[in-house]
Amino acid sequence: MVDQLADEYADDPVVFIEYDVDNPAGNRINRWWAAWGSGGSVYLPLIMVDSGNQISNGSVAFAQRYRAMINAALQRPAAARLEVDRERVGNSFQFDIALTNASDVTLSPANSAMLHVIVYEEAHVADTDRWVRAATYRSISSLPPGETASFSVEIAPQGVVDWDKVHSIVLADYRPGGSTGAYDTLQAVHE
Amino acid sequence: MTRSLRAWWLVVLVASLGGAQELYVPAAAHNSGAAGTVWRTDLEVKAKGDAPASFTVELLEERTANDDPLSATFSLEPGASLRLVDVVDEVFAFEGSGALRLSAVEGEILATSRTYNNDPNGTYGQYIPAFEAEAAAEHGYEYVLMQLSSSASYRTNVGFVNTTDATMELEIDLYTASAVLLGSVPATLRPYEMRQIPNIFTQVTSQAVDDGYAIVRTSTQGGRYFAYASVVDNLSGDAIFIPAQLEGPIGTPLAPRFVVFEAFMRYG
Repeated sequence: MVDQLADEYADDPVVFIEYDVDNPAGNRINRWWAAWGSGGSVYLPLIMVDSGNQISNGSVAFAQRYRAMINAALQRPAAARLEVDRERVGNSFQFDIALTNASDVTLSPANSAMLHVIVYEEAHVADTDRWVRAATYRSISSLPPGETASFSVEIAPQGVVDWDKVHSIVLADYRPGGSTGAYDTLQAVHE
Repeated sequence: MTRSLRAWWLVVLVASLGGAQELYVPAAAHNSGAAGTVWRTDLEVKAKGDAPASFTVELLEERTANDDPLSATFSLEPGASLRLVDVVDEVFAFEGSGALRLSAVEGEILATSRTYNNDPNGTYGQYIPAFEAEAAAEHGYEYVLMQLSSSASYRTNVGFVNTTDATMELEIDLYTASAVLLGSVPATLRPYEMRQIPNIFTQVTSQAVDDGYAIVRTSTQGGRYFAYASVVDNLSGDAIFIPAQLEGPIGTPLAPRFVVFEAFMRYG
């Protein structure tokens, strides 16, 4: 189903990636749990767009539900600019990233603002054709509206089969509610 | 007042001096306006410092290219000033409105102007400065005209002067004071054209706007211009002149949001 949606949205600014729920790279799964809160029963798969601004779990009318989530996300404006320079060095990638805050709030640890780097491979490892090989993150110390911060991130994806099919996502998110509630994506870029 | 040889030799002379002082008075008139108003402009020019000065004043007529404008030349003794009363009519024998361009031929000059409603019971005037040409608004930046009103009591006219020899596109976004965009008005200015858009808010809304502002920008590379608003009391004909102020550089539009669909599944 997810791969069918990937084909359906091939011409749109959307990427579909899959993590191992028992050993998820980076801290992205924390966004799902932050959006969920507590209580109730949760079933696989856990799905989120915009860092948890919308989530889903368990058996649903997959195509209809996921399509609605994506379409809603596509209608939302970006709130940051990202310029990314990626260079492969041996079996790792070096990222030089410029993040400009286009929102109206200062990004900082007070609202859990972070920059994420996710590396995935076009490979059918589990259920879909895009498997996350590595992910990491950096805190955003203090970035007022309109200001730009630079980051250098090195990441070494594990288990790559074909380096020509390795892609990356750089994503900035924050928690609008401060220390509670769902996170939200400011912007992401894909290479 | 000649358009021909005098203008030619002045151009040659000014060019030979290089970087000669040039001033713009964005609005001047000898005409009748809305609500029974009768508009006149007095121009005052002074020789700067202790040196004599001479200058040309050119009329950039409204709604036309002004490659060869009407012009006149005056001389000033050291320290002297000169008032050109009803300058549009008395100097150029022109009925209508436009902008004035002053060029120092000798020495340096200072200039001011007053455009007023010539009411039989007394005049109501607005001071209109003479701006250095270098102060013109430019491509890549946005400018704001604020303290605008449009209602039964007030109307807002906005005006522009193209200070270049190329056609220029302008966009005027009209907002309420609470930053609600009411609509946009485009304008095209031919070389050195002056254009005033009367009662501009009525082009985007039928509602009264007690307090609003306009954001002005040009999409034309190299575009330079002056922008102003004139807010007129509909009852008295009293007007205030509001010059454009720099709002800031035009921001690069944000790229569309890139959506990341993340699935956490059980491997194996």
